[in-house]
Amino acid sequence: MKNFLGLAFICFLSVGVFAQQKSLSEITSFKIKNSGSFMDKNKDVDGYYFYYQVDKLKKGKREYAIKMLDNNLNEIATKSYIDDKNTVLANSKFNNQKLMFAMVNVKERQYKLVSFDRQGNQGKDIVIPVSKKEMKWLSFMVKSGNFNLLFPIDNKGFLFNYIRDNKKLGYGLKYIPTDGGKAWDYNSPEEIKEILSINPIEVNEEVVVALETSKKSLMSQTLKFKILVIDVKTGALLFEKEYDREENPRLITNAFLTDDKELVLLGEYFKKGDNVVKAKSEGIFAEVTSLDGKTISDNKVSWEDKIDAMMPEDSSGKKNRGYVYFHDIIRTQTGSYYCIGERFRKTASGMGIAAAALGGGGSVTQLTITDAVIFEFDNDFELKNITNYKKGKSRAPSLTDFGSPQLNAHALKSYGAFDYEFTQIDTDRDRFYATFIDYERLKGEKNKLAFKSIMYNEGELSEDKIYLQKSKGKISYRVLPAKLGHVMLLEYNRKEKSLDIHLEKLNIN
Amino acid sequence: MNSKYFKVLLLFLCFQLVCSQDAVNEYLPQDINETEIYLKRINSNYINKIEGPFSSKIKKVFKDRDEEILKTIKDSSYVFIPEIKEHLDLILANIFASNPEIDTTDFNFFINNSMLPNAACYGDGMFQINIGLFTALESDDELAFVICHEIAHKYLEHSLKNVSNVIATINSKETKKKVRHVKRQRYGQTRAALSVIDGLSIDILEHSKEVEAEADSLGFVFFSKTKYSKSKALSSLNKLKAVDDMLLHHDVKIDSVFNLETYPFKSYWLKEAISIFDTDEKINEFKLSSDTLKTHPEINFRIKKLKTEFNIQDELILGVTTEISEIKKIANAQSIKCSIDLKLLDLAIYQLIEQFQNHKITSDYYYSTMAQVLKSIYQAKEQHHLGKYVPQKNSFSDEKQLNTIRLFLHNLELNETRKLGLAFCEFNKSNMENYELLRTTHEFFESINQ
Repeated sequence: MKNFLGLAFICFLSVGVFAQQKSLSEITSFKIKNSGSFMDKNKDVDGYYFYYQVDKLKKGKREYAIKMLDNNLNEIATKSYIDDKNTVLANSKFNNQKLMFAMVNVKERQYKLVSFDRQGNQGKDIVIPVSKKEMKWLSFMVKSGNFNLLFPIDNKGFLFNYIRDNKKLGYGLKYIPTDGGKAWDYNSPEEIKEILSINPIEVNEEVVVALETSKKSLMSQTLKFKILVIDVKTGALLFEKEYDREENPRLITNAFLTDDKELVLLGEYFKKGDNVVKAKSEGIFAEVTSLDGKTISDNKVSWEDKIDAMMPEDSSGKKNRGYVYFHDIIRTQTGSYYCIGERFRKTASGMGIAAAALGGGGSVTQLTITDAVIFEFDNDFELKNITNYKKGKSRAPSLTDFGSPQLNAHALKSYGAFDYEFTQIDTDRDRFYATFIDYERLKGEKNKLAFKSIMYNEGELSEDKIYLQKSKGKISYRVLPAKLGHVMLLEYNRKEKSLDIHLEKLNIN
Repeated sequence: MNSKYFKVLLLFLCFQLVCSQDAVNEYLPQDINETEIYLKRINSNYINKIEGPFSSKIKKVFKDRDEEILKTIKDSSYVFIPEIKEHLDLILANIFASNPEIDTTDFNFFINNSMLPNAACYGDGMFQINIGLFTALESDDELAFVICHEIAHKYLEHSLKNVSNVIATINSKETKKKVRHVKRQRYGQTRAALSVIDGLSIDILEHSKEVEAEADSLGFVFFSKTKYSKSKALSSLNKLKAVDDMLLHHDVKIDSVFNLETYPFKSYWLKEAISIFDTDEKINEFKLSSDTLKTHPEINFRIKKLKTEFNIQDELILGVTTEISEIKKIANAQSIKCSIDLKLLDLAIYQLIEQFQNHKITSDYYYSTMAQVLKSIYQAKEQHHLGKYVPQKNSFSDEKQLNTIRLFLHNLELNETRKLGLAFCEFNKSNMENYELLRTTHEFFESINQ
């Protein structure tokens, strides 16, 4: 804040300049291409970016501007970037040493990795040529949701994950060091008989843990999973562990590397021969492995023996658990585990039946999504408690009436049919924040849209709620992830056409 | 029966009257319609006199601005405190009586609730004095010089001349030629247009330095005819320069202020997150040269010019004079009140600490008001509204002290605010009997800590 004698006088003059010179201001307005956030694996937001096109240049080039905000929404940089006219900013991450942007050029058929150091200087670009088919499949994988295109390794480097077309579709995992280390590539074998993809899910300063998925053909619904543990320094495979349908079918939701150099894998286990995509799981598991691949423990908690007995009735009084879709499984610093899920049931769809009766081709069933649930396990993966959190019902039409509810739930998850938003993990303070959107149906009151957080702190779970509608309905809200323990609230006032953006801390009681 | 209903009705009407009296606040003039009529009248008189090239464009600028001012008055950006207004009127009366050549018919001075020591002339007769000017200056003489400076702007028709000049420049053949050239460019059009805007902005900003010095000179001529001490013109500018450097720079030592016996300060309340870029200033590869120019003329240049032109000698500054001291007290308290009412809670904390540590407010007022601010912070956090009123820390901001307060307020959690509020009230338990406000705030924190 500055004090300027006569400031009002001068400001008023400058307003005059720009108000009168409309044609100039029209020319100088940057056209926004896209925007996003710099988010790490714990869903902690380091900042935000806005990608604009500024100018048309010779030979099909364009000048772009990348405007960056810090995690407090303060503008920190506007960088000029010159590239081909077909360049799209696909993703961006920060690893405490560098900022990396993944650019995709559809026409030139190449990926370009553009980096900036902490002084804002642009580094040497890394160009990866690709085919049209590879690009198409990469786009499909990114849209499916569960795909880390760019994965930061704090204070070490970045992993770039892409599709490679050999005889069958495979993958490439490129490591770009930022600490002076060695660059490496870990690619799927050239002579593969199955379609392979990879997704890095956990890293530390020593290893990368990635989930490899394989299937026989594009249409196949039978997936095989393999956990790969790769040396960060060399790119050498340290060990791999397969979870095949015949012997050990498992659906891995999360992985954690502990300070004791152990790998903890969490997810659901299935009956031998079951297809993890379609079948109902047997229960939840926590498998602990050493970094040379030896199994230290493998604890399982079954629905039948343990969970069903402890399952609380839902908010409508139904004891039957129906199905639970697990969105995330968290391991706290004290070693206990929390599974975050939503209850759902397969129900008949009134609309679907009516449409079918009229000759329509839609599905006659739907998934009815109800309460949120949190399963709490101790260090030995003993189930200690299940807490039910009341939530309004959401309904999503089944994609197919003949598939299992699980298959539909997996498919609907990628369409955003569930109320779950994200879970943010604060490793420093040993907390997590699981967030949901809820449409509250209140007796005697107007229904309200609410952003709900279930938070873990010092061994306790508590709730916080932000209503997303003002009484007169002139203001509409959106909630986006922000820095740890915060959310970004966007309030758009339709009447005044104004947008108010602010960060708010989630309240732990 | 009828008599009973009559008594109830009477009681209800009396209650309504009390409430409506409370509702009359210092942020609105006694009669807003009268103010609106006045502003429209002076604006219309002023606009009607505008002639010559681009007159319709110039008229539109002044008309739009008038509507904007009225909106800000209705939005409570101004204060209407009789004591301050009366004091200001005395100074004005002296200036006007000493300078009968000034036509003051349409003059009206409004007090803005901004804490920035600043004043403004709007050209049509409306002037603005910020409450921060009362808190920063230390004598009527200094205040009189600032007012004379603003009157000189009006006398010299700077507002009209500058708007006319700007509009003439941007509508000039030369500018239009440049714009046409930019539009014809196939490549690099945006950069070329930015360069044109930059050139225009530099011309305007350079011009303003001379205009301010011109207002100083004529302002001093008006000022020298008054009873006020001539040397105070220099001390006034010197003080504004010092305040410019010192504003919001008082070391508030937040970790000591909120380090309470029953609830010690936690170091993580001031913990900062790693920033993406490690630079001292914002990186902007589209920055214009005019962005780097100061938007106000150098006060040093003005002081030097005034000294040379009128041979004024510096005088030892003796401190606050008695005539303004009472007004300063009111202005200080009002400045804090405005910050609280506008929910600028970071600024309120800064002002309270600064004024208390510099003995500008009493300890009773400090403790009870700070407790009230903590209550407002708790309520804003509970409603998830704090971010709307208190910005997050900005690494590139000059406001280092405010930044620390913002970091503290946003790192503080709801349950910690609850405990801190109670500990703060308990720490000042002895004052509670004297101060009702502190007692009720203590009761609030006690109830939520149960």
